[in-house]
Amino acid sequence: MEEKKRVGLTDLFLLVVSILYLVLMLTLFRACGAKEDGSFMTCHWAHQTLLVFAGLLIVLSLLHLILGDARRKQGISVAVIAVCFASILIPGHMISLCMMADMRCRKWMVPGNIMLSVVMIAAAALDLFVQMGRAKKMAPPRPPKKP
Amino acid sequence: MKFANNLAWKNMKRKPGRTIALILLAAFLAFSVFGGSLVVMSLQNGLTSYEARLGADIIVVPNQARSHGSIESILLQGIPGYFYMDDSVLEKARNTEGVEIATPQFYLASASSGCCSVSVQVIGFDPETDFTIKPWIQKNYSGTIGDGDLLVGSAIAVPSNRKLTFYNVECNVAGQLERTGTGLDNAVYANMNTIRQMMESSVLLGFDYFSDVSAEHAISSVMIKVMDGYDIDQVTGDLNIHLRRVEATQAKTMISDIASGLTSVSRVIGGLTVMIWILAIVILIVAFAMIVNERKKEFGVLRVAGASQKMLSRLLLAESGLISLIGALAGAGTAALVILPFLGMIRESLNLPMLLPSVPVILLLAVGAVVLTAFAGALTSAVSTRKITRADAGLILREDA
Repeated sequence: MEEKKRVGLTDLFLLVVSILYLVLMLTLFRACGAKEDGSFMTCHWAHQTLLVFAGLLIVLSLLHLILGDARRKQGISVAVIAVCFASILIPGHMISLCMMADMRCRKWMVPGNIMLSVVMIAAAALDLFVQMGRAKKMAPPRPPKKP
Repeated sequence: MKFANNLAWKNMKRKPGRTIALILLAAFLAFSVFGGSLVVMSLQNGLTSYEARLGADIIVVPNQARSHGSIESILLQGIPGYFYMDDSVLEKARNTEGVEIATPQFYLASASSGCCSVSVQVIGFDPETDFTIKPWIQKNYSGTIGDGDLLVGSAIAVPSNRKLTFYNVECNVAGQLERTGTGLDNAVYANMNTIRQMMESSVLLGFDYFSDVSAEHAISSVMIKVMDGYDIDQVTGDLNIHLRRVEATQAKTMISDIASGLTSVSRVIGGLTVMIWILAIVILIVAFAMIVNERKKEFGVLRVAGASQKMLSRLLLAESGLISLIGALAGAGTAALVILPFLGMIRESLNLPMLLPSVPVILLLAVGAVVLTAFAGALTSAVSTRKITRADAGLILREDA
């Protein structure tokens, strides 16, 4: 059956949240600034990695919006979930952060990253569920079993 | 039952705007209950932890402590500070009647902390006489704290080489302490010799923290435990009379200030939650009454088609229950997402100690909030359900004709 290109609520939601993720990471949830001598603390590199992830999430969300096929959308949702899990693991686990809990990176960047990543994971998981239903509907009828 | 659930689900999908609005209302209810109770419980835990960490009956600090970062801001907010007095105060305090144990503490604000350009509070204590820090340390660290060893608070990230340098004194991180929800989580702890070495090194580096007190004889505070049978008020008064240029404060006074802050925050949260609940429940009752009124004809047709009164009420309860359950889950999830990661920031803005309850308690609170909201949502539709199921189907259909 020919599938119609359809923009769903989850398509828009994923795109909006991923853009919000990038904007907030550049503003409110940014890491600590450069030191007096101009060098950067380790949290700066964790922040740079998160920015790359934010860009990747926007690309994935755009693909999710453009592509009509339910199975492709499912694949993209799985990729979004994987990227978000990785982004939770980056600051503090894979790349160390500043020493004190009251520093910008640990007070703003980490909680903000966790919050937005969990929202993205929930939206992608919901989309996976929606697309599974769509894929089932669109699937060609099974040929009758041969006796 | 399955038919009622399916029909309820289809009804919800048919009017997405209405469904989303009702879900948001239910989410608001769950958010206020779960979020409010989590914050209040964290504040209560924080106060208990702070009380336990203070450990002393009386705290003696120099008068200048008020201007150089008070002891409350060091212990509560973790703002690095320093103030010193001569160690002769310790001997005088020990000789005061009614004093059982008196132990010195040293506060030193580091110039930098290795990787980051912020200062760290270094707290020194005398392991031989200490009775406030040791019981807490022993929960996480069984060894002795030797010269050059440090124990770090839970909010400090330990470097991979486990070395920290303060005023050119390289120290080994021996262990990390459990979370207290107070400023003590942002401090590092060392024995007397290590902190004396740092103090002397800071003088050599040109930091003038000690003014008229020599670094060798400088102490920051004296923690006092009063003998059984003696009145703490009386001993505090004696200390204030006999010791010059220092101030003896009862630990319970410091706690009562925080306790009154906690009471007012809890009252505000409680009041807001009650207001939100009253408002939301009234809106839900009105919304369900309007929905039922709007769908009178549909119910009339269902009755004529053979649906029993029981089935109609089951259908409406399933619909309101589903809406409330989805909203409650969304609300509790949002509260968890906002409060759990940002607790440090909430603690800083409230300026009160906060310590999250254990994971099972958090889960129990979340489940409680979800059940309460789902139940309240279903209950609000019960009034309208009763009205419509009792109405005569023929009359309803004739009314609309």
